[in-house]
Amino acid sequence: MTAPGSRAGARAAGLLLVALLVGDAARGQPVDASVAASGPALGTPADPLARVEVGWDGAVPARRFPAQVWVDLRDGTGQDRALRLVVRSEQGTAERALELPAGGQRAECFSLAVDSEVVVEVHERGRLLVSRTLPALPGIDGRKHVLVLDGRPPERLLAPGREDALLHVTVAPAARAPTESSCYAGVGLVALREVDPAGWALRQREALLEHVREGGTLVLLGADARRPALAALFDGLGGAAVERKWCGLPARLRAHGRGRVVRLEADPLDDGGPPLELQGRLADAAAAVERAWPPSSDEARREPFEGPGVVTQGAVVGYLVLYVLAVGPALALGLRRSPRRRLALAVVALIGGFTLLAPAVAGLVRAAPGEAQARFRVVVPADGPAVELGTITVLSGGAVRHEVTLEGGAHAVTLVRGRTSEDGLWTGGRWESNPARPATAATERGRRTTTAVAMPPWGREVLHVHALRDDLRALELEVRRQAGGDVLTVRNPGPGVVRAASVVELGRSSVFPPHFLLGDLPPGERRTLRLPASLPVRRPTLAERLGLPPDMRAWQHAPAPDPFRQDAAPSPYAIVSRVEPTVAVSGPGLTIVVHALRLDPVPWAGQRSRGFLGARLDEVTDGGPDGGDRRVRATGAAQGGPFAALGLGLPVTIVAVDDVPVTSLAHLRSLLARHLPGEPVTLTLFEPRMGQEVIREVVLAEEPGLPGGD
Amino acid sequence: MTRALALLRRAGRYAWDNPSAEQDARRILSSLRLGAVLGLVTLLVLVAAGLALLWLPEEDRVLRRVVVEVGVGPYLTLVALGTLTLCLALVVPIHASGLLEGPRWRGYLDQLVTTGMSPARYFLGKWATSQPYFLALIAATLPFVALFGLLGGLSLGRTALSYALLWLWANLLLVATLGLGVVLHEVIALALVLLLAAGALAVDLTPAPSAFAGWTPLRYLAQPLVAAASGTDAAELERLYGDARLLGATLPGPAWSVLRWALVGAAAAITCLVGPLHAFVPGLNGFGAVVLQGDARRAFFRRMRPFVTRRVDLAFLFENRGPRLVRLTLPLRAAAQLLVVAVAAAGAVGFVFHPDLLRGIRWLDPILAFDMVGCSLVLSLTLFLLRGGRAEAALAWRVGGRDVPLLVVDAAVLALVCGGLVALHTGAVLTAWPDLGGLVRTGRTSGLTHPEAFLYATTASLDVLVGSAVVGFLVLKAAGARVLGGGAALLVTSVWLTVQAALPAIPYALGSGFSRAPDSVTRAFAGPLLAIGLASPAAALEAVSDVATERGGGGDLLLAHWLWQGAFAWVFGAYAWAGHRERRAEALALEALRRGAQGPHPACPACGGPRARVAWTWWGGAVGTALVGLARCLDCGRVARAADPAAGWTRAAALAFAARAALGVTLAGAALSWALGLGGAS
Repeated sequence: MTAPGSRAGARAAGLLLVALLVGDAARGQPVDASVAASGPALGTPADPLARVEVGWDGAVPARRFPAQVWVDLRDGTGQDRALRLVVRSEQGTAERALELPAGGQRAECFSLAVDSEVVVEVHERGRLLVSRTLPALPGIDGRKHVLVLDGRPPERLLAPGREDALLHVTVAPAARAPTESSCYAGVGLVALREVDPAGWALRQREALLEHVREGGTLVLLGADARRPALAALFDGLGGAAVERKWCGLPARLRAHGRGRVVRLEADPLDDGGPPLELQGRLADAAAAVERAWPPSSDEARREPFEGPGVVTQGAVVGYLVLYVLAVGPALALGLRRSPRRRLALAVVALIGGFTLLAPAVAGLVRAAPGEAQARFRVVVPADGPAVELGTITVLSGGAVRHEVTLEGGAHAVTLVRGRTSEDGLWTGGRWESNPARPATAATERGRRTTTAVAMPPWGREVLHVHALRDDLRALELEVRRQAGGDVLTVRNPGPGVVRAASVVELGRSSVFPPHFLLGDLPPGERRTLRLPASLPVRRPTLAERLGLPPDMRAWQHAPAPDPFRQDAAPSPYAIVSRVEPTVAVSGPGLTIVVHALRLDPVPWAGQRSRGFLGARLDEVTDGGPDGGDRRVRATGAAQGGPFAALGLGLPVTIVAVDDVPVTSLAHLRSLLARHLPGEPVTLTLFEPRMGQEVIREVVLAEEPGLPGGD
Repeated sequence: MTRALALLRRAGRYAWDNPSAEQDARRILSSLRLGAVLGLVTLLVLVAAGLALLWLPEEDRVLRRVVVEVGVGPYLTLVALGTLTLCLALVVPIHASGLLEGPRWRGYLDQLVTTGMSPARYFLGKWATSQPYFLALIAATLPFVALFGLLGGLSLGRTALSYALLWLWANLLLVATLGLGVVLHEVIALALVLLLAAGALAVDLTPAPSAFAGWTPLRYLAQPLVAAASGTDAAELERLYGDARLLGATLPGPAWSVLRWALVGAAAAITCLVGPLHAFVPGLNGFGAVVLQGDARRAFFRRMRPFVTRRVDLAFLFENRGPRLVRLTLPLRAAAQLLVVAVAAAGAVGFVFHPDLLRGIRWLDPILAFDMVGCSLVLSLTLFLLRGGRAEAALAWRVGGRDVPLLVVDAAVLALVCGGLVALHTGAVLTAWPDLGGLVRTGRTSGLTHPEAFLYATTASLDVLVGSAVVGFLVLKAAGARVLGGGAALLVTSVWLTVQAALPAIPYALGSGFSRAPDSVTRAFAGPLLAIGLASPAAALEAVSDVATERGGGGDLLLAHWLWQGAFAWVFGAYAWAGHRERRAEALALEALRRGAQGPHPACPACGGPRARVAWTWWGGAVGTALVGLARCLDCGRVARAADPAAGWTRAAALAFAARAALGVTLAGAALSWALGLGGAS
């Protein structure tokens, strides 16, 4: 029990709250992430630094990947400072000299393995000012982790007492939100606290909402009038919000994809929050929420199958059991005194007879589809672009094929069968596991669709039903073939603004991540996007779409396997609808057919593009079998790209970017991602032929194929 | 056609007309036993299929994904046939064992021996009666497989091939159990076959390359499900579970499995034909003289007879194998040994140098370690197969009127194994050259980075292992030819190899430390210590590593190791050769005596007994003893000049000893003076 009014206790209880709601996260597990440790007070004679904060960046919190140690410094003396920052870990020692202007603030970042304890020291003129120790950061296991993205200034991060809260909590500054949804693969709940999503790149917001669509939970803490960005994010999702108590706190819940978004007016982590005597009731409250969600509809009902399947089941079991008895005890006892020849004939006859009977039994099983049908009436809420309406559970009575009939009334409905995905983490070079895309079936407005469900006998299949709002789907599309690539023109006939739509399906190919963004599209306006020159049936890599030569195919993710297989079904969170009538195809031999749009309700706040270096990169490891130092090499350069303009012989090792030592490929990408196209970057390169380091400045370009950046 | 049918009918009658077939037909093919076994097997299949289905509905399971992707048919068929595979692995060895021990325990093996029935016919009867039994067991799953297959997803051809593989595998288990039961005690053979089958089943389920795995039908059965179950790594795992890749060639998985089963089955069949290596002590080669007398003396242990006289019993049983097989015993045995070793070597090399595994590595040293472990196991297996005792040392293969002793035949087998292993290994490295070069492209700078370095390290290490195997073989033969049986000789060899590897490592470590000492006096000790230490193959492998990773030194150290190996080979080779010559000479002398003919040497002056040549003495070694020319009486043991028993030989022996000692001191001095310079080479 946490004592009311206790500051540390309230924080701990708040984190316990969010942790318990994603399952059994709080069962005696140690804290995963250490959080900031406050330095001594401002202006003391012993330590003239106002504040030193050190902590892990939990954005990529898995043991096998490097995480970033960030150090925030603020001067409290009012004088210019020349400091030396020393970071020691098992991997070695890194030193960095830096200037801290009078009264200024500076953040430094180091990339280190997360399973290593780290000591951070600040020296000034040879004197040790501050020393902080960060314990090792274990990885995330399962989907039981809570990630709190905290938008408050560093000095307001939680006190060290939080480690006692027995939670799987990782706290990360909001600005370090991941840009890939897969980074949330191990996270069950993401909480936003004083976060302004408007300051994020679109991909960061997409990653967060994809996490929810895949079944995760998003909690918006303190989304009141003082934090309009959170309120805007919540309202922008559409759909009906439900007022209900959420673990004893007043909350509004809204379904989104397969997950939910919870808006808490109160922030249980805040000092002035309500008394948090919640721990005894947490489990009950969580269970109540699970039972009540998704909201039930009077017109939606479930019809699990029964009846004829049981007959099939009985027939199969009876056939097999009868055979076992016949060929076993009956044979042994019935032919005790028979001659050997008769015994052999009986064995052959028994086995042969039952084998000949097998087609009849199998036919009975295969004939079962006519016996099992489900009807599901779908009701689409008037507000909200996309909503998961519920699930259909099919229980097989022995049959291996069932048919499910969908009837969406005046709405288009999508049926999603199977698991969404089994994403692992994006390691900066490849997917760690294969995302198994589910099968879908879609109805057109006013029509009925019957879809076959193949499943094992005595199995259970859960089907998710999605619906699409009519008015947002009415986009007009036109594809024209031009010399430099095909052009897609999108027009919003209205009513309503289409916000942040992106193309995710081209022909049979999934475009992931969705590079072709529309942005805000007011009614009556049209927008033109340039598409790649040609798309084969197979989903091409970015390098292929850019027309790069074969040796440059390792540009982005190769040789990683294509996460989306050739025969993959459309994404579950891509709302698939049939829009062929609105697609105008012109030009001979045009093969591109745009037949799906992803309508993303994320509030649009402008684009941010990642700087493009134009180099093919790979990672080299020096050292023993257990790993060793990693170097990043550029082994190829895109013709006409910024890197090719340097005119260096290849390969070269990229030692540092803007004087920040590059520790891995992922680290290099994160360093480059901080820059916009057109910004200069200083590269420290080691050219093996010359045997020395060279420093070059390169102006980043816009990534090809990404109109307007990403 | 008619003639062929008639021939087949005759073969069938030949196989079925023997006691083992009669007994099996009465016992195993009776309704009670057949019904019990078939009922049990089908019940197990039913239960396994039920459990497999109950296991399915949970989400997030690999199995569920498998079923969704490939259908329920292949999944349930795999369960049914996999259960049958397990049943066969258990039932067949039990069914096959007892063919020799049963008659011995029940006391009618003597009658079998005295009928003069050939062991081939005896074993053939077992094989013939097993076929309907196997067919009944395998066919009993047909209704299950038909039902599951008709639910969709499994082709008729694949089902038929699966059944064919199951039948062949049952036969492999049968032949392997019979073959091992001949060489070892049948209880041990049964346990060993069960253990090997369990290991093979486990290996087939793991993603070991098919060149190494595929010892059971399980690998082929699971193949369609692997891709569906393995997610991102599907393509790589499909290649691992699919075709066998060896030396750049690709063989379909089932074909490679069947080929290896056939080779191992042939080796086991040869063992069943010719029996264990055996020889009778001259004078005691009569059934009545040995078995009956032995039993009379051991009346108390009559019930324990299987543990007392098994070798003798089997020797008399296999004496019935016929004159042609008697003549071909040694070459057939050598062929069987080579077949087994070839299969093992191909599997080991195919595992280590599989392209997919090589592409996935980041470090060549583990590959080298795996490679050396595999080669060591192959060479150890060879030594195990070549073991033999004092009685067998007198055996010879008569070719073109000349006798080729067992030592030469076995040495030829070892030479073929070592040569083949080196060739296979070199071919594998060269075939895998592009994959080995991958690390160079990634720019790794320490350790074994270049394929050239790896080629040197792996070849030189294999040379060291081969050298140790040759010396071990000579120790094995020297010990076996003197006073010991095959098992004891193997034990002595194991002790020798362990001591040779471990003990000199101590002075080697000391020498390495001394060589880095600052003062020259300490460094002077380093050379001799290193020279002593390099008798160990472990030290030699360390030197190879130094050369390969260019840490400096190593070349002279390897030369020291080879000098040691040469010295060992000379000493043990002479001892082994002399031992075999003496055993052969004794056998020939006694054989001449049995025939009433004149022996090669005059009779013993003391007792008048037959005499045989002495080939090795401590004072003269092999050369000195041959120059003096001595023979030993087989009755009283007196040693005298071979040609003239009355002549003295003390002075000649003293001269031979002096010459031998002088040569030894000279060689030791030369070696010491060379070794003093070794300190700088480490």
